Amino acid sequence: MHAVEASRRESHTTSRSGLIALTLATLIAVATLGLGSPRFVVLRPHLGALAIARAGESIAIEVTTSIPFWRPEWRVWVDGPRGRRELAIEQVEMNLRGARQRLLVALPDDLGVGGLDLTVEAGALRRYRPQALHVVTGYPQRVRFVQLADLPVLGDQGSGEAAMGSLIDEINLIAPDFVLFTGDVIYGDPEDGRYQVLVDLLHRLEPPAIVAPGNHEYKGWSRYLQHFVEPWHVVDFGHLRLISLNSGHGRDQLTLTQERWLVETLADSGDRTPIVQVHHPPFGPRGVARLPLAALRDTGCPLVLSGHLHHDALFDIDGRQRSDSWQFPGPRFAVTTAAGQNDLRPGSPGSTETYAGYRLIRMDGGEVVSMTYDRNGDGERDAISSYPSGLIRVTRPAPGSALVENGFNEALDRARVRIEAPASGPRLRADRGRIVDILPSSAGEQQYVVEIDLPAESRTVITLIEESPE
Amino acid sequence: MIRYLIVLQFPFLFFFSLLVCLNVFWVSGPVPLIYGTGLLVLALLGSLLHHMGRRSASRPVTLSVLLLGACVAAWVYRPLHLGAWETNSIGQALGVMALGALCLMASSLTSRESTAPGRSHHLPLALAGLGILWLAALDYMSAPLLLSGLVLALGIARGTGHSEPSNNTLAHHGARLGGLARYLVFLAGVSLAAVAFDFRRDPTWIVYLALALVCAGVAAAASTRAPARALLAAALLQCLLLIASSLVPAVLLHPAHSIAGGLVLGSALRSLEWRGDESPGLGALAGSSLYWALGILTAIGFAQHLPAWQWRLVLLLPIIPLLWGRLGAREPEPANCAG
Repeated sequence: MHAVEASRRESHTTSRSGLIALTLATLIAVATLGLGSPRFVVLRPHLGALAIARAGESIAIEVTTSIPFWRPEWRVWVDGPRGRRELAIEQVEMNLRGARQRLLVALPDDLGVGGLDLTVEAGALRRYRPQALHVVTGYPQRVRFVQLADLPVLGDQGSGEAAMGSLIDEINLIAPDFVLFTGDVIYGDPEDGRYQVLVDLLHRLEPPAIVAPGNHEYKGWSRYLQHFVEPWHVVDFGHLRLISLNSGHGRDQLTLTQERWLVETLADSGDRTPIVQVHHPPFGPRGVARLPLAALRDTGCPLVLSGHLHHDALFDIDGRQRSDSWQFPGPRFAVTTAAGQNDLRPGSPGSTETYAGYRLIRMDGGEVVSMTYDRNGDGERDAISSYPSGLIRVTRPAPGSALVENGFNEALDRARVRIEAPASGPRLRADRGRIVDILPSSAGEQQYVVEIDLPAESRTVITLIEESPE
Repeated sequence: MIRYLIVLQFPFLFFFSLLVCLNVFWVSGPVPLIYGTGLLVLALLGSLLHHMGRRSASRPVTLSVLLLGACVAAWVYRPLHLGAWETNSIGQALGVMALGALCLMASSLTSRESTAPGRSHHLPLALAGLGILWLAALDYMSAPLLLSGLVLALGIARGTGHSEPSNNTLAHHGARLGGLARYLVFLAGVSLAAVAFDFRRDPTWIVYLALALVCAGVAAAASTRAPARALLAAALLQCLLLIASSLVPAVLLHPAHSIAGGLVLGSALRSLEWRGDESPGLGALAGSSLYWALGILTAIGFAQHLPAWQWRLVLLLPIIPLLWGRLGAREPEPANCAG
């Protein structure tokens, strides 16, 4: 009898404990998953791995939500020089792996070209991704792009911001189709707002920026992830597939997963020509980013771009350093000098000359047309040299005019100059080149974007003049 | 079985999950010091609690720790959810480490509640259950941290007695396989955590880890009757695994690697539980946390220095003397192993 009673009491205690546990578990789930106030994060696109599209095309926005099966009313906005626009959501794909949802968003035909900030709303919640979208007029067959690495030191209230600002003005003048930032974009302690300085500077950059991390980003890696979100990613630009890798880690290697992802992404390129950027070069004295070379060769990758060494260098797929020519079959493994002035090193063996710069690369279809600069001015491009910075600049001698100095010993076609003029005045035209866009500027002003071909080592003055009545 | 879950949640849910999250999201400022020191202290504390505390724990104390742990889990998880680690706040780091301490205490106290080992299917089920819990990380990276708290909450439902009486006494056998078993737990950590870096970008690894834990459960079940022989087989399998993955790192990318690593882990844990003549089986499992933790840390160390990858082979050296002294280990008498 006592045993039965004890058993009943124990059973009662157990069921009561079970009830308590169930209640507790439910409370924990409710409290932590936030059923009352769900949240979301925009995974893609983002600064450094932005969506590049033409007006009229659709882009995919991926979000992850704090609770599964959440179906808020999504709204998407873009902000740019022409103001704020709401974009129409064509489709919402739900329940993707990783609690993700994919919003397919249509870009209106009259959106205008250029970089745009993205805002995604779900009810009262709002997530902002600066420079996450870039609208282009089209994907040209002949592409030119700039690649740079090891930027000036930002955030020290020193010369770094000014140097980076000048560099961005220079790149804007060259008007490449896109810019690759191949790591070491931030030096020093990231806790003091250095990333915000970089983000503000990238806002000034007119072409789309695609960013890969370097080893210095691993000091404060979480800050990097806050702004650039993905350590490695792929962005398609017309017939090109731009693959950015992460060789930081403090071990200067790709992880096995990343290696597998690279092989799959290369194989999945289809008709697109893959271009790879990875901070650590796979060859050379400090180059250790092991890459699947056979996959690069077999998929016709013509270029693997790196930095890290703070000098120029070029290697072929066998790891031989080339100083004879950049025109050889197979992938070219090009190392670009630092964009900042810090810790520069001589590039050629025996040389003591150092310089900061970037690489300007021209491609026609999947072929590289040019990727080096003629630094000694003998009329032939060097085998390895990148373009020294500071040789091309624009000044404004008078209102409504611009003086462009092309210090390169090569012509530069389709350079773009911005000239400010009063918005209220008569309609203007440029005395040279052609106006390709007119953007609203500061109060009462507007910017005329003039496209012009610049001869080698030239000084060109462009003036806005009143359009004749005819 | 819930006792086993509570004991094993610290090494296989909280500790591993925290290391994975720290690797994936990283932290800045003074916070890494808190996490780094905290993890080390917890790992050492786990071992100390195992070796020093042989006294039985009272149920009310255990219940209080379980309750507190569940509440702290709810408190610290919310800011981690989604925007994990973005704040880098000291408060968040202290909260997470407090949760770790409570998870560890719950594990240790539960393992000391009773000297009676559980039924033979409890360990396999607990390991498989942990594998299934890990699948939550497919959607929410840091979910296993919360699940640690939920396991503690489940512990409250386990009833009041020191019961789960066993008609299966795995506990009374003379073979001394503890050293080898612990070392295999360490090596299983080295093998299974080698990809911790890539959990965020490639969720396949979460499935692989779940697969490994389920296979550990299968191995624990299969090795019930002959744990000594199973342990020796596991040692050989682990040697092959380490040699293969050291020479050809791509071996890590194959699910067979996870399956084999899981089999090694399950056999080693079963063997640890089995050597109950020296300590209660559950206590031995709780004490294995340190070896598992060291294995994970070693794996991450090698993953950060891939040029030294092949030096993992050096880890095989201690196996030789451990195996040498254990080849003569006798199987337990099959007393009431029906479970």
